[in-house]
Amino acid sequence: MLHNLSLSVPKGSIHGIIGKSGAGKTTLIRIAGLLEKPDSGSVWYEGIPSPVHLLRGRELLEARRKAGFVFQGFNLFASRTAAENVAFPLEAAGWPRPKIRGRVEELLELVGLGDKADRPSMHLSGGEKQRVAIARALANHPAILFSDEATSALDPETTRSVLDLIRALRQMLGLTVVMVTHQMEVVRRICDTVSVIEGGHIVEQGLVSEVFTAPRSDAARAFLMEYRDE
Amino acid sequence: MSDAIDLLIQPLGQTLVMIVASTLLATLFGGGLGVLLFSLSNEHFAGGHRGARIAKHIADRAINMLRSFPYIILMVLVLPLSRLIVGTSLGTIAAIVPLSIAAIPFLARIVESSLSEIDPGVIDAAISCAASKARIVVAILIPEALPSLISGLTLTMISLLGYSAMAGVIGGGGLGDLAIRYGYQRFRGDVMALAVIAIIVLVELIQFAGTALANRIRASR
Repeated sequence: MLHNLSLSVPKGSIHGIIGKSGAGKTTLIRIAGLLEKPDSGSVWYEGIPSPVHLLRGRELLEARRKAGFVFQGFNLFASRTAAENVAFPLEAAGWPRPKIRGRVEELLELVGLGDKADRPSMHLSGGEKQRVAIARALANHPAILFSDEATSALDPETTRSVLDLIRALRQMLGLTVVMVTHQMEVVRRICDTVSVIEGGHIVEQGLVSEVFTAPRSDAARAFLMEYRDE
Repeated sequence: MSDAIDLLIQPLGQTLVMIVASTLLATLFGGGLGVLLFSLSNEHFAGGHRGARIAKHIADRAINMLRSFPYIILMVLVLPLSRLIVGTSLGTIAAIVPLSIAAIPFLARIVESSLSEIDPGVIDAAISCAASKARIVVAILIPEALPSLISGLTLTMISLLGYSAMAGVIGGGGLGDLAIRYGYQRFRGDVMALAVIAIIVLVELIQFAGTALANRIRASR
């Protein structure tokens, strides 16, 4: 579905990926986030000498620890509390119990949920679920956070607060963020740069201010038009 | 009537031994086989690989074949196997072998379908947490599917109770055997009734316990 597409994102920036549904946004971010393998082409992470999509076993797990992933549907583990959700990537990385407890506390504080640690995850509100998911994604100190429509299931106010959290985390942790979205709000509020995808190609790429003041592609224009209609 | 109750004690014990032992064995082997079937077709596990597709195909055929044997025939067919495993082909312990062999593919299918019903997004999340596949199965998939797995196990135990009624054919005893030998062959209507009532009570107890446990887990989420 994707062809001849090359995307590299500067460290510490927030990059938006926009385009119509079916354009290939989700496929792109799932390949970049090591959830799917590309049929051809390669994925590289800084600090890893070989293409990460070819890694297996322990090395693949190490590469995955460099990337966190948050989803539209939150995808929390219903069998676990908020704190136990955040603990899972640490358990998987072989951390000892007492250290896990401290790190989980720290992460839940970071996303503003210090008081909800022992809540069953399904008893949290949408915004709280996404905050837990963000804490879980950041547990292993990843360099990059992938977000696949992470705010699309949230109301406008919660969307803004989650976006502000992501921006604050970028500042605090020096995180690189790649966000697939169809929401103008997301791009306008927190993205530095944006890629427009159409038919499996990146048709336009640049600073948000440039792309939105002088769109060159039909897809970017369509995105702006739709926003104007809203 | 009181001698009818006396007659009930030993067969009741035999039935319990047969279903508990075969449920445990089925959980161990059928559960493992179910996880294997699931992983052979899930894209994050072995799914998509050519080898996995072939293995899944072979496993599917074998399981379907095993499941299509009428139980009474399966029981006779595995007589030599019982002799090999437990040293005898007769009695309650020997009857556990065919019961387990019937329950393993049954439970494997139930486990496979319970695991397949887990939201694929949840599996994506577990993968992105950089956990090994074994850890994902044990720490995420089984707990996520637990209420449905318990319902499946309940179903398996009740089927086993039905199958165990045929154990008399190989001298396994049990409540079904009591009902046939005393109730039917010796015209003891009271023993027949008592045996049937005992089976009904067992089914109700198993179902009640299974449903209560599954609901309790669901309610705690």
